[in-house]
Amino acid sequence: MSMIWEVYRSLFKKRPTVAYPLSKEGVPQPEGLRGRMILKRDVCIGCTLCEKDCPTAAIQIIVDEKGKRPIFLLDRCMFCGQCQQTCPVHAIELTGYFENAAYSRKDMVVR
Amino acid sequence: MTDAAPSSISGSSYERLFDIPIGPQHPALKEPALLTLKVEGEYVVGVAVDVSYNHRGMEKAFEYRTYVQNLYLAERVCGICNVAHTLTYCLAVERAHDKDVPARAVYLRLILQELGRIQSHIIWLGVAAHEIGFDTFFMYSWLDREPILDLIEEMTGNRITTSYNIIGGVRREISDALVEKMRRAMDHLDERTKYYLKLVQNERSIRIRTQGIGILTPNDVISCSAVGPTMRASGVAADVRADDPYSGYDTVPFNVITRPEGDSYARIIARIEEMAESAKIIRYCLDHLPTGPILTRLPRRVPAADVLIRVEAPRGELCHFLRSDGSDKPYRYRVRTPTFANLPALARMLTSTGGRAVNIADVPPILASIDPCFACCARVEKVK
Amino acid sequence: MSAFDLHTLDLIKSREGVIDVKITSPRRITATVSPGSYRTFVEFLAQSGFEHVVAITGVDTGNGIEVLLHLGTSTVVTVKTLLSPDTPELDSVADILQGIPFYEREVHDLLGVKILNNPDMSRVMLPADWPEGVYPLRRSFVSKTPEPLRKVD
Repeated sequence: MSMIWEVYRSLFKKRPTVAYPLSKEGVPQPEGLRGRMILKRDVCIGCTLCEKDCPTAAIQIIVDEKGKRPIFLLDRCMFCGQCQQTCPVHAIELTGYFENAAYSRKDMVVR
Repeated sequence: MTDAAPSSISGSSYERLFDIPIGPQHPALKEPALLTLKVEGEYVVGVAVDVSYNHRGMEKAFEYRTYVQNLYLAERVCGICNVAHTLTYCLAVERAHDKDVPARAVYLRLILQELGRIQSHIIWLGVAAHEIGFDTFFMYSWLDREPILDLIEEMTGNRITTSYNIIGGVRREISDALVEKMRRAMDHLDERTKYYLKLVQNERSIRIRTQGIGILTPNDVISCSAVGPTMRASGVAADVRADDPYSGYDTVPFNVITRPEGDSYARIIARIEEMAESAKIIRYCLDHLPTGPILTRLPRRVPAADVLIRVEAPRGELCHFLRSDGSDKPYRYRVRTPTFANLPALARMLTSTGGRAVNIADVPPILASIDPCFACCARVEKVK
Repeated sequence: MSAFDLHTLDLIKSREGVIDVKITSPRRITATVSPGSYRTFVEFLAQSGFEHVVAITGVDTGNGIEVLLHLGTSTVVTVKTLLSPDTPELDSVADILQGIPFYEREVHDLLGVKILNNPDMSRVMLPADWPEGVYPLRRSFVSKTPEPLRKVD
C-alpha cells in the first residue's frame, strides 16, 4: 500500500499537464528544436547536395533567376536535419517553428 | 511437447489439447504478434510464436539508399531504441573506413546512449505494471520519464528519433547549462529509482503476480542464446558493454547487474538497478568529458569490408552486419534485434514442465517481462 | 590481437575442412569452410565454448549464396560457407545449438536456402499468403518501390 501515500501527496503538487493549445506556457521549446526550415537564398550556391542526401526525397531543385535552389516539401519531410548538416555553406537552417499543419498541400511547400 | 503439468485434469473431455490464440490484436500486446498457446485445462503446454505482422522490408530497403540516407532508415527500425541503432550503424561504417571518432564525440555518444537506456527502462516499467493491472504505477513512472525526454530534446532537438549520431561523430555540442541540468536530473532519478525498488519489493500485488512466474534457469539461458536483462536476471553475467567493449565503454567503470532468481520479479529488479547504474555512468562521463572536436569528415564511398558490430541496446544484444563493396550504397545490411534472440527463451518460459505450471493468466506478465519489441523483430523484406 | 584471439586462431587452423581463417579486427575471427564440413565444424566450436548464437546472415553474392553463422560472447567467430547457386542446401545445426531454429527459418524464408533435417520449416517473416518460391532478399528480386515523383510547379 505504499503507493497510496504518493497519490495523496500529489493532490497538493502542481499539475504536470500543460494547457496547449490554449496556451503555450510550460511547453518546452528548447533552442535547437528541429522544426520548419528556412533557406538563406543569398548564401545558397546551387550545388544540389541537399537533394542527394535527403532520405525521403523531400527536397526538389528548381531554377529561379539566380540559379538552382531547393524547395522543401513538408509533407515528406521528417525533420531529420541532414540537409542542414550537408549544406557546405550553411544556407539551410531548421528553426523551432513546429506548428506546421495546414489545410492545403500548397501551404506545405517551403520556398 | 514436454511433460504436462500436474495431472489433476479430469479425463472426460474428448480433446485434451486446445489452441488458444493471443493476438494478433490483444489488449495485452502493444504490437501485433500471434502466440498460439496449446492449452491443457488451465495450463499452457506449448506455444508457437508468429512475428510476421510487422514486416517492413528494411533489409532490402537498405540496399537502395546511400549510406547517408540509410542512417535515418536504421534509426527507424525501432523508435524506443533508436539511439542504439544509429550508434551501431555509425560504428559499422566507421569500422569499414577503419577510422576513429574524436574522444569528445565518444563520450557524448555514451551519454545519449545511457539516457536512451533509462527512458526505455521506464517505458518498460510502466508497461509491465499495466500488464499486471497496476495502472497508477504506470502513470507515475511515465511522469518520471518526462525530465529525461526533456534532456534528450535539449541535447538533440527531438524527443525520440534523435538523429544525433552521424557517420564520423555527433551532430551538436552540449552547453554547460545542459550539463548542470543533467546532473540535477540524475539526482532526481536516483531518488525515484530507490522509491521504485522499495515499492516493488513491498507491494504485495506485484509480488504475487511476478514471483515464481516465468522461470528461466541458467542452463536454459545459455542453450537458448537469450540476451539482455532477460539473461542477466537468471544469474548469467554477460553484457556486451563488458565483454566486447565499443565506443568508450572500456574506459568507464560500471557493474553488470545480475539477479539469481530467474523469474519475472528478478527481471523487474534487474532493470530498475540498471537504471541506477546508467545514472552513475552518465555522471562519470559528465565529470570526465574531454575537449576537442566532435566530428571527423569521412568520404562517401566506403571501402569493401565485412563488419559485424554488437551493441547493448536496452533490450539486449543488438547486432548489425554490413558488407560494403566500395560504392556509396551498402551491398548487404543485416539487422538482428534482441527480441528476435529472446523468442526461443520466451517459448521455453511459456511451457509448463513437471515442476512448474504456467497458467493462461500468467502469459501477459511473462511476455511483458522479456521487454518485447516486435517492431524490431520482423523488419525485413517486403516489397511492392 | 589478444592472446585469446590468437589461441582460438591456432585452434581453428588445426581443424580439417577449414579453407581459410583470419582475424579481421579485435575480437572478430572469420573462418571459411566448405558446406560439407560445416556441421562438424560448428559442433567443434560449440564444444570449445562458442555456444551463444549471435545471428545467421545470408548474402546473395553473384555466384551463390553465402551463409555466415556468427557465434560467441566476447570473441565472435564467423563461420562462412558458400553454397552453390542452383541448389543452396545446408545441414541444420538446431540440435547442437538450441537457439538456432528461428534464424534457420528466416534464412530459408527470405533467401531460399534449404535447411536439411530441421523439423520445423514454417514461415517466420513473410506473411502467410506470400507466394512459394519467391525469395525477396535475392538480388534477382527487384522491388517496385513507389516512386516519389510529385513535381511541384
